[in-house]
Amino acid sequence: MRMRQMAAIQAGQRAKQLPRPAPPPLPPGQAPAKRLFALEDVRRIPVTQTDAARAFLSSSSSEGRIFPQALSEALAGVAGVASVDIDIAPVGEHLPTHLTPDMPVVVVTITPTQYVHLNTRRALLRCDDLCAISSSARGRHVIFRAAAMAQHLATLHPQLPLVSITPQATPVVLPD
Amino acid sequence: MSSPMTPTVPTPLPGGLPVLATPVLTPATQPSQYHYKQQVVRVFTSAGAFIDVWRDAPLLSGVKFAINSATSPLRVQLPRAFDNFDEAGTTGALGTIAQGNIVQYWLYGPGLPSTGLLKFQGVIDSYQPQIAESGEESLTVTITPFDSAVGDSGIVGSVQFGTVGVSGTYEDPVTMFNWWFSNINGVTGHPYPYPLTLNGSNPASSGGVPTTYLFQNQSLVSLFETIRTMLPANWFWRVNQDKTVTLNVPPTTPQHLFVLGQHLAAPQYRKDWTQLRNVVQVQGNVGPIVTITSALAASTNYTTLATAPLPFALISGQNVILDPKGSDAITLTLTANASAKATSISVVSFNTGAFAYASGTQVGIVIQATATGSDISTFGYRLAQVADTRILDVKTAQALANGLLTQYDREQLRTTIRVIDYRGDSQTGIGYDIETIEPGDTCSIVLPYGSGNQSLWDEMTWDVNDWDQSPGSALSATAVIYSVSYSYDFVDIELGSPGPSQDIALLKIARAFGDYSLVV
Repeated sequence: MRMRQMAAIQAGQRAKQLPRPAPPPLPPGQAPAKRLFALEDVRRIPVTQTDAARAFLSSSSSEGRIFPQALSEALAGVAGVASVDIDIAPVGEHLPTHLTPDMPVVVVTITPTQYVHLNTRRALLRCDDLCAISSSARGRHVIFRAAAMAQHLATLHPQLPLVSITPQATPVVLPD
Repeated sequence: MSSPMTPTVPTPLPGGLPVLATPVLTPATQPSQYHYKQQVVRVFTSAGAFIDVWRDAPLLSGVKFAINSATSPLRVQLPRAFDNFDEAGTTGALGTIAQGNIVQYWLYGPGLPSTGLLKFQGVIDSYQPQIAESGEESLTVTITPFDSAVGDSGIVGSVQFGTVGVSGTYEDPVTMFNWWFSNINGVTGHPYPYPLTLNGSNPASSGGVPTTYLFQNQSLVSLFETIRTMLPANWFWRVNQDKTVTLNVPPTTPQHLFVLGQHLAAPQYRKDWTQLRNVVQVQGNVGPIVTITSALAASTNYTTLATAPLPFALISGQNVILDPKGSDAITLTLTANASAKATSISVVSFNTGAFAYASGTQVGIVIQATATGSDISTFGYRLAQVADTRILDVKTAQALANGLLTQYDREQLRTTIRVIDYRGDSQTGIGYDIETIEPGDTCSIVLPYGSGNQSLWDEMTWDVNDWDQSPGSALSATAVIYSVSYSYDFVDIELGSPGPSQDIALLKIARAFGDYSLVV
């Protein structure tokens, strides 16, 4: 009996030392809306541009200028992607059977990380599409949407045309 | 069965002892205090010693936080007696009112750190006791914000990054930005932006074009803005409440989703093309000098100059100055490109007049670059010209021209929206956690009622009309928050681009004038 009394007294003293309880959490689904993520949480992968690509994107449109950044963020969410390269080239260099081989295209090359069994893949975008301005009666707006296109490429990534087969990583030989 | 709001009723226990039955409080029925946030205004001496708390301070309101700019000063009106307002040095006063005292606004409440959120801090720079005609006595205190160093500090003299012509020494603009925080200003003995420091989460590099630049006689805000122009699209700098400086680029996906009718009210927006410029010409200093290799006679027309091998390629339209240091200097414009090491340049026809120029006369090459947008055929030729004699290199001039084109060559969507705080209301689901909104964040506005106009096949004209679009859909694009005007229970935020401001226009003129007149 005495032991139980001492335990109750100790518990009471402990309770006095504890901070006041926090208010109960709001029920699920009723939490206040707030910022979805902080700037520090944004993950980006390196994007390199050739001088020609940099010059073209700089003069293209407000959305074209942020396209490298959009690619950097969208493809950072794809597992196994290490980096992105952007170049400008005639479409005939990449699609020999194209009807207009001299048409310039933005060449987006997606390189996987070294130890992932993915392949280097490539997407081609018409340069004109990055500059196009709507002739809608409501106003003249840039049609291209960098974030949407980058997200689209991230979704398509496994189905994009191959550039090269990544060499398989050296198999690990386990000891007997 | 009693409802949750039923008053407490004594319930007898076996043995006759009554006990109070407490109703269950759900969030919907709890008193509104449950969601309240509170403010504590602490005052410190300039040395940082705590003095007291302003218990009569009004709720924090009227302060504007913005990117690429310092925070606005805060004016607060305290209900204090004309001759007894706790001024330092008066009998019986704690001395919270004194020039140089530090004032900090801390917020406590749901969703905030248990140790409080430092929302604003600054230094008392002015106070004004007054008696109104009605007899009301009050004290108006002006608090200069914590980031005033951005406008007050700067360099007198010059600092150059990179060696002109040696591209390996050129610096990433982020490196230039960081330099000011790690080097001592000889005048103050502290780093230039003291007491501001770099935010630890800033990127180490931008991936932009390395450049060289001669910073000379500039305020800190002018330094930061020049560096920002050299960075790729959309970069911004911001001073945080903890006196750190963020230099980063906003994400392309929205960090905030504001639902019309739930988080914000009364939106308005304006599409603006008036400031659009699709050709930017940047002219720098007189750079490398070559000499002419054949003499020019007086009173003769010339269209070409024979020169020593050019140090780099020149472009058509670029200017050169014949005998730049002489009283007979003539500015000439190239009519054709000239490659590096070329020994002849074609210029617009000119007459030498009364002067003859001997072989060996100097020709100064004016640093110049032009950036052109692809939308000239749509909007017409809209030229912006910038002259800055601190630019010593074509590559840097080109980087600046590209940066300015990024700022000017776009449709500006100016929006001001009011987002209300969820705290202070017992109704859940209404309002937003406004303490998480910072300038430089990105957001998107959700219009829950969907499309305003549904297109019909027989009415829509291809390539003319939009398909199933609401005029308000312009708001749903991801936009950068340029400024946050804080009002305790709500914030007014500017999206897309900062609104027109006479102060900003005057500041730009003053800065341009300073840039022009101070540089030798």
